[in-house]
Amino acid sequence: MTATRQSIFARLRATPAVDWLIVRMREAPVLAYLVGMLAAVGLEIVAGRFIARALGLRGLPVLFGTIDVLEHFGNLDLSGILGPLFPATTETVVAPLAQSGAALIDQLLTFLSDIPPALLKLLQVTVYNLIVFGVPIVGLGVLLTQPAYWLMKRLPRWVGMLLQFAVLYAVVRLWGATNDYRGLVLMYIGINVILSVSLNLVNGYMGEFSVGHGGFMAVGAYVSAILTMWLFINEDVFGPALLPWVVNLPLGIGQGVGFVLALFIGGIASAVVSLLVAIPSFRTRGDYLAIVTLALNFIVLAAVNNMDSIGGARGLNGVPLWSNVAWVFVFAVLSVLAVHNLVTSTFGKGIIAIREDEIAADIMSVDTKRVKLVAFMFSSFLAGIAGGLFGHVLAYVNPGTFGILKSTEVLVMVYLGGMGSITGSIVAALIFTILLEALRPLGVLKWVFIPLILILLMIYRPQGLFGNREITLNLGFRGRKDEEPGERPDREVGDAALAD
Amino acid sequence: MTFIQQFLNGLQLGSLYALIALGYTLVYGVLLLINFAHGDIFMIGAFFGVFATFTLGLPFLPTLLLSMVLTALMAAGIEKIAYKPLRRASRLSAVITALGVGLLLENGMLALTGAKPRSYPEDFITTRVFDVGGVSISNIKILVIVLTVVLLAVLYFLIQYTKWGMAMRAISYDKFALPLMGVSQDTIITLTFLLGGSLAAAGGILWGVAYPILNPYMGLRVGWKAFIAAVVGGIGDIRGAVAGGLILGFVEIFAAHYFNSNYRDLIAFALLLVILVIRPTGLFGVARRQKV
Repeated sequence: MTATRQSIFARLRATPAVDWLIVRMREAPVLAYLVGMLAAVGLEIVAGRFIARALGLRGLPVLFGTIDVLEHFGNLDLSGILGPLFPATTETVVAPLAQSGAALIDQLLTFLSDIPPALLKLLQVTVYNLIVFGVPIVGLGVLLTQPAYWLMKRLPRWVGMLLQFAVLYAVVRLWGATNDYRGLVLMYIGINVILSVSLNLVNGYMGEFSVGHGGFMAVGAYVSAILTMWLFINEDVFGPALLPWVVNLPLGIGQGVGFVLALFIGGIASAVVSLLVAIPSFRTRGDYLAIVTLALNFIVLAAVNNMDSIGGARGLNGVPLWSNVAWVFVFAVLSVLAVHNLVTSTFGKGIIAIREDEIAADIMSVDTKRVKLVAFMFSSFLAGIAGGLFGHVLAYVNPGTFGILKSTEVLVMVYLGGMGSITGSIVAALIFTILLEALRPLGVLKWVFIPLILILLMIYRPQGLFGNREITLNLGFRGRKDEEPGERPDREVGDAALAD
Repeated sequence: MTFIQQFLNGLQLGSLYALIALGYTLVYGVLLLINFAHGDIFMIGAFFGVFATFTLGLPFLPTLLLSMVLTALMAAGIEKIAYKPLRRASRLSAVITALGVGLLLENGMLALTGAKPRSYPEDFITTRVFDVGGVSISNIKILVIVLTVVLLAVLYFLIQYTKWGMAMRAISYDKFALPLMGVSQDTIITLTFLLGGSLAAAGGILWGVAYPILNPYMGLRVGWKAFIAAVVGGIGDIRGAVAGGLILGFVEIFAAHYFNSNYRDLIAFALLLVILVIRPTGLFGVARRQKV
């Protein structure tokens, strides 16, 4: 099976036309692809509905058609298969085995009858994705190779970077603007990027095993939500705003300043809480530290549950809806750049040295205590910011959201992407978030498939998708005078993928 | 009097935690793997009990034994399918797999059996309450405590006085020397999972008798608690698991009694943090000095 598949790929690769295309695609710089994405999103806005209609789809495929395909399996209900064998006290089951068997056959038939329409839908959305996204992105990417190089050579480096982020932002914003749901998914993606990158700093680069990221997220979410509600808006929980004039500043500046301030204070609070993890980490590591982070997650939630003034277990209602794609984008990009710069700095070499061998690092004059403290606090700070953004997405925070399941989700993203790979974390956050949304129509079965994927991934590719490698991006700076030979500028591809 | 009453409650909860914590600690001692799926093995055990008593119509003791056998086989099977291929990979990938297996078990169970809460039938164990000098003791409490003691005694005998037990102790001491002595590592690992699974099943059934609501997510919370108990005792050490389970049980019950039942988790976990800060390797754990 594998052998034939490989040989098909190899044969395809050897075709002159395909070979030509692949060489050209490798050559194209990021800017060219970004412009291609912009064109693709523009094409979708202008003609997406028409193309979808022409292909026989009901409407615009929201998440690249993944939901549209899986929707067909939404009518599966497997609870009859083992249910009769495990009856509840109140029911009497006659002939449980026969009932189970009948349910099994029934669901099997349902599943089989779901397959043809799902395959048809898969074909439709694949064609749609190729027309709307594939052709413009690859086509313009190849066509604009030379102009993009020309431009990047003439612009100062920082302007070039800024231009790329601006185009990326335009892509993200336009793609999200076509549909409210897409906007929401984009915010989740951005928040998950912050979470997975920050956890990767501790688990991937420093080699610790922190399993309580949800707890830090909860601290950030609650602190920032309380601040924005208490200081800036009138609501039922804390009464009238303490500083209402701030929000009334012109051009929405006040809201922005207030929001950023609240997020940062939330992050700082989260970093302070992380001292409870960082200080034990001086004496122990591995499994015992894992339990400390786990206990911390439980403690944070138990504490919140017991504070009735902030809603207790019911949660906090009326958080202002201040998160939007723009804020999440800015914070995601800043977090990625910050973590990237941290781990590539001299200080970051200390972090990696601790992972490889703590005693050796100590001997080589790495101040292990300080490095651990900073890494833990910074990671939690980012998790707190992510929590704050998250809290302002749904206008509601409740402790149940930040439980062990949330922490597990973040862990899955880090290990899916690969420990010690920032680009891996970003791509994993992107894939995982879309997967979570795409599997939504399957109901309970969603959480059967996600762990199944995780287990298979771990058995067949235990180092994650990217291991500890990074995806290097061709930013088009090549051949510049200020570019040192041998240095490879590697901005994270995930940012580009964010828009994809 | 209330103190004795609460003491018994704590003893009951602590015994159950200890039974589950033993599964974590046995596996950790042999494989250095935190088997995060163990809490869900406990849930599976309780559900096999439902199957045995309702669908097969068995009374208590056969139900217990059947569930222990089935769950043990399942635990060993999971090891063969999910953990064995990862024995040479990094330790954390096995841990992540265990997390995945746990999620798979609880959500798979939910998907396949539906969300209705379950409980054992009324006549499974008929509750009787004895009044001893103002302290009310139910036969269920006695059953839980006595059965736990019996199982611990059996486990102690197996580990201390049989050849297999000796091999298990040896493998946690030096896993490279054991195969050189002509003992198959795989056999010992399978045996460990069988033991852990059967203890978890016993815990699951007793839990269902003592706190009669069973659902597919019951293993999540109890599992994490038992794991914490195992770590507090010093994971990998059998005495530690028992001690940790009892401590956690007492702390939770007394915290709920003297403060507020809402604070029981908070106080229990905070105490655990304190213990770990003072003795990072747990009560019975021995720090392995790293040689340079």
